[in-house]
Amino acid sequence: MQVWDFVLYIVSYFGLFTSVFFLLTLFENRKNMKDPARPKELPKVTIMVPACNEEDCLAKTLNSLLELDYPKDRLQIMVIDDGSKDNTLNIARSFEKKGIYVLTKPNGGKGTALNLGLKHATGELVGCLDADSIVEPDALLKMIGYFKRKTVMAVTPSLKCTEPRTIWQRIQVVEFLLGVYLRKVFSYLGSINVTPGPFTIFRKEFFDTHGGYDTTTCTEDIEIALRIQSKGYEIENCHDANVYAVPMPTFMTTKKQRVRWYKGFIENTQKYKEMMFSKKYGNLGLFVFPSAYLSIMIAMVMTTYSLYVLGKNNINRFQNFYNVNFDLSKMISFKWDLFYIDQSPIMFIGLVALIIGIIMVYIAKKISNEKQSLAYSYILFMLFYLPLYAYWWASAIKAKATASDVGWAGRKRQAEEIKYS
Amino acid sequence: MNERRKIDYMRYLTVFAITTLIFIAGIVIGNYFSTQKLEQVDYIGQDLKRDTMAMELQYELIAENPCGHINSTPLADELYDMASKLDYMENQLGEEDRDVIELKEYYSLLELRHWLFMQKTNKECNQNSSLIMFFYTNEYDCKKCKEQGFILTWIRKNYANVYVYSFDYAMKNTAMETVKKLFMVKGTPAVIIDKETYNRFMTKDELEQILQNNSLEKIETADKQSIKNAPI
Repeated sequence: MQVWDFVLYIVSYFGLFTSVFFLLTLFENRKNMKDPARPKELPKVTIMVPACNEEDCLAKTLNSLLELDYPKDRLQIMVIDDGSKDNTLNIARSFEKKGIYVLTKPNGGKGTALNLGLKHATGELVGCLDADSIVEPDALLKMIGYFKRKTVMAVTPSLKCTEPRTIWQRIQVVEFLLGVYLRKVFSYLGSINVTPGPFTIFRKEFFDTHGGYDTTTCTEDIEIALRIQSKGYEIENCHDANVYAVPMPTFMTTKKQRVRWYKGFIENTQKYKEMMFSKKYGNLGLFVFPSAYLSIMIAMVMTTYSLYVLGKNNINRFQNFYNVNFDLSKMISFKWDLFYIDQSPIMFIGLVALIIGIIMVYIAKKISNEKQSLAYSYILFMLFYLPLYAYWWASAIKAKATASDVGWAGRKRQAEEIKYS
Repeated sequence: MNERRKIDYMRYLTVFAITTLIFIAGIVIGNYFSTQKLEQVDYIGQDLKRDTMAMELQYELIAENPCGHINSTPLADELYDMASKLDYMENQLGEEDRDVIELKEYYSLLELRHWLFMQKTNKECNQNSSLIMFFYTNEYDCKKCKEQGFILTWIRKNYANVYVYSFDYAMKNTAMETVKKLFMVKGTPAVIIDKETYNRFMTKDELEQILQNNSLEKIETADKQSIKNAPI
């Protein structure tokens, strides 16, 4: 057995172990999947919409919030214009007559906008909705029941993609659905480490006690989740509260977004490094965090090796074709023979992993009532996600190493954490 | 600490057991199919041996005009099929796999036997087939071996009367050693075309030139060729 074969078996074992672990966790909790009943008296909720140059989508987002199935006197909707240079502020103002509260400030990033919103928020619960996302009318009502337990500080929704148009969006549709599945599993493991920007609802007292959004990070949604975990509180997931975001349409925009996310993940896991391998943080410290880093390493090693083999084979192939002056008319034959189908042990293990992958997407689709057909998207995902994932991570590590600006929220700010008061 | 954070060691153990079980099942099933495939290659080898013997006997038995009844093309196709499958198994199981090495040795002997028979029919039946022996090694230092192999496959597929016999230079058996000594094969890649040895990489053009020189004779024997290819 060659060294590479040995590595491949180790990697496969780890991948299979993780997949089975998550699947078993969900299976064990299958009877607890029903959303808790909502309280008789609904708490007041503030939804903040930070917006910077969002004139194209803001109205749609606000309309979806106005259609929320929630008593209007218990709901405060707020737009925080973060120094937009387009028509965003005017659009927001046009919604004031419908009861939407509008704030404006000089541009400073999403975290600063949310912190301003927190100062004006009147709800016991507060949430954020990105200005390019829309929410289903029953989402908020479904999430409220989870706050009955006093230790729950945040409830995440099912974040999904709108109808995809490009192949990049199709890949993201499956990625987001796997996120739906994983977030549910992580909630049972007490290990949710991201509270997505679109429509995660928080208990406001957490901000009152532990400060507002960290404006020094490029992913405040990871920071706040880890802060909640570090204080020993719970983050729940409401799998059938659907929120839709528009997936990035091109290779470059997707890369830019992922580099920001992943750089933020590195920064925040460094910030909360005491969680890594710590028994105090349970599954999150002992399994979820280490396996996240391990899977990143595996993806990068496997992709590098695959590209090396692919490159080498193609160079050899080109040399062979060149040697016969590219006259390949008699070299191509399509003779079907079962013998040449790979039936090696690693293929069978891979087949099991593929089936588990399909089951995961199926479960995610089912629990979040997703109606889109996913066959084509799943094939694209299986073909391209691993190398893309490795490439995004390599770019994020480079961005971190070179302290590069990674987008609108990544600009360098004052180092001190702005405290909400 | 919240309840969900508690580590359920039993769950980890269960997952370990399930994963190990799937893993072992995968290895057992995969190995079963690999064994089946090796057996299949072995069967092809047995068939080939039987067919070669049958053809040799047929040749001896038909005293009158034996050449008119001999068609070795299907046998050559079987040889190529076995070679292709052996090559695939070698890639799957590795060059060091004992079963693969044994089958390769067996295959080399079958090739030699076919080569000898073709020499005989070439001479006695006045056929004009070009018989090419090719020596290669799988070792990293013979980068040109794979290229040479591809060029020879191209030649075989583009010239109807060409038979290519590939031998692993590292193969140790008395018959192979004799061939190497007889034709003064000194390293790899090495190509022997109709008993002429070229201890170097040969381009497609060089090979074609040699074959085209031979093909003048082939044109003269074109009618006999069509007789040769007639089914037995």
